[in-house]
Amino acid sequence: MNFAIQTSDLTKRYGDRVVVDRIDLAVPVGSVYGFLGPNGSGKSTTMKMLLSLVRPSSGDATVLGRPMNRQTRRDILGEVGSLIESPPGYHHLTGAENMRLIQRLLGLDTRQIEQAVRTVRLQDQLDKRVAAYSLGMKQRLGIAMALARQPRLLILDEPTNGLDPAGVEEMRDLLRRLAASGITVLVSSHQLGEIDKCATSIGILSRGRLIFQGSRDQLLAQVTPDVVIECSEVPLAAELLRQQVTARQEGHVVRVRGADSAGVADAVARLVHAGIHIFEVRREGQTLENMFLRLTEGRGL
Amino acid sequence: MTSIQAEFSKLKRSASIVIVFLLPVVSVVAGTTSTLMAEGGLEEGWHTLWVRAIGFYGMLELPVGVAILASLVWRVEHKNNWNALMNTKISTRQVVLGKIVVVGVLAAVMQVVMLAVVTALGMTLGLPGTVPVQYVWASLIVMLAGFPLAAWQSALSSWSRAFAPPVAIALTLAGLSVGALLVAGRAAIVSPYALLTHATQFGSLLSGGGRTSFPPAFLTLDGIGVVVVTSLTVTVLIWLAHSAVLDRADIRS
Ligand SMILES: Nc1ncnc2c1ncn2[C@@H]1O[C@H](COP(=O)(O)OP(=O)(O)O)[C@@H](O)[C@H]1O
Ligand SMILES: [Mg+2]
Repeated sequence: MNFAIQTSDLTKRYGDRVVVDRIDLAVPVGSVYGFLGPNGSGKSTTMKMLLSLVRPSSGDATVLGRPMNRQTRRDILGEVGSLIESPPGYHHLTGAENMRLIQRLLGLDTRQIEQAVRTVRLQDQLDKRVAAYSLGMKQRLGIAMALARQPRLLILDEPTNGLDPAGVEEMRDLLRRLAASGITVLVSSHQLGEIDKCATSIGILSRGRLIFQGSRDQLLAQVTPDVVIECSEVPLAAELLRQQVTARQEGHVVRVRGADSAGVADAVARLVHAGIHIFEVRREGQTLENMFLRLTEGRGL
Repeated sequence: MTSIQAEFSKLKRSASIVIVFLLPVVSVVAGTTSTLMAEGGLEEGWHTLWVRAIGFYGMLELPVGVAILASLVWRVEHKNNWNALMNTKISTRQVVLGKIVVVGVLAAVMQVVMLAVVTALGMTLGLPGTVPVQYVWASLIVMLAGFPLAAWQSALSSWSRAFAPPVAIALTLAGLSVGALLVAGRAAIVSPYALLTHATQFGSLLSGGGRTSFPPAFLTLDGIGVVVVTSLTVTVLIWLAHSAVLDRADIRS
């Protein structure tokens, strides 16, 4: 497979603190790669290293087939659009003036600018000053500025951050359309639900370590969903089950983690044997959200 | 070239335009009022007017003005555009050059405004003719000598996310540089502040001995040559050093 981004042992240390810990990222060409992790897990730092805005403490990154470093970066960046942390844009200028600035700076033609603006659906808002834009509009302007150069790779750092649900949906739609046009997109988020539905590959970062990388299906297949048991004497039931499996009381039910079919049968038998009445046993539909929380809380799969 | 154009288009609706016009007006009016009130008045006409107008302007207002302009020009980048600025195919040297040129040109325009204000003031006061041509030449030298300071303050302002510290540094170093000029004379012009102040002293000589605090800089080929060469050399050195530092350092946003 061809990769738009590949890193090996990419590491960033600030003093004694390891902020990004030996990660091997592999972003397939043409994918929407969801780069997930809670706040402070090292997503932005990783992206800055991919752009050589921050120098890795060790390890290296290959971007669009070329080693990324201080000497090569300006060359490679001609084909990379990015939006890191807060969306760019000069607030005292209008959207149109910002786009003209980029056009002149990068020597683009008007068609490229118009296409980028239409892609993010900002064509009716161009005469407003950016200061008057909503956060979603600022994000979209930032993406238009990154898109105008017609990049092969787009690196977007939390573009859904702070958006309302409609804005998030619009951003997802935009990511899908970008991918359909052949651009590889690396997009980060601290909330899995915001991008997992449009991501074709997923990487999960926790405390600087890449704890999962693969497709959405592979991620789902890695975990056994929780089993929820409704019964009498819930505290006692939880107590009993804890001797055998990971279980805890959750309101009026007991939640059992990581139990396969045999494990469930065994648990039920135990409870019945102890004279506890069982009203319902069900396996939860696995949501990626739950998994993401479990993973990033460091409890493992 | 394109990054220089880009810098100029960022000036639209910018406070820097206000500074460029307001600072010389306020400075010249404030600098000459006391002279006009004093018993002698404008004893030597245009020359007295120019010397009074340029005095503090050259020592303090102009250097601090350049510092404010540099901080204004970088402020919009610090706010939310640092990453984008550094994430194009445009080289760091081009980016830095754009900033130096825009600050330097704004400072130059400020000098043009200053000259215009002095001329207007002199004519309003009924001085004969117009501003002597030597002050037009002097102003051209000032315009060039602003570039090293533009480069230096631009470097400080790119480093400081806050607006005020580079301006405070300019205030302090401009003061020290005035001292250095008094003590060391022309050798002090390795400091961009001293160079600019020195440049403002060109042609400032009153026959009556009343003059600014410095030995005046004469409009001689040698005097001009030293300022021109120093200006160009120091500007290029700061430009290259600043670009190299930006290229080596991790981004801090
Ligand atoms: N320049 C820096 N100096 C010291 N620590 C830093 C620096 N930049 C980031 N960090 C730390 O690195 C960790 C990861 O930060 P970041 O990459 O921004 O995470 P994320 O984008 O996932 O929220 C955080 O704990 C942050 O405080
Ligand atoms: Mg971040």
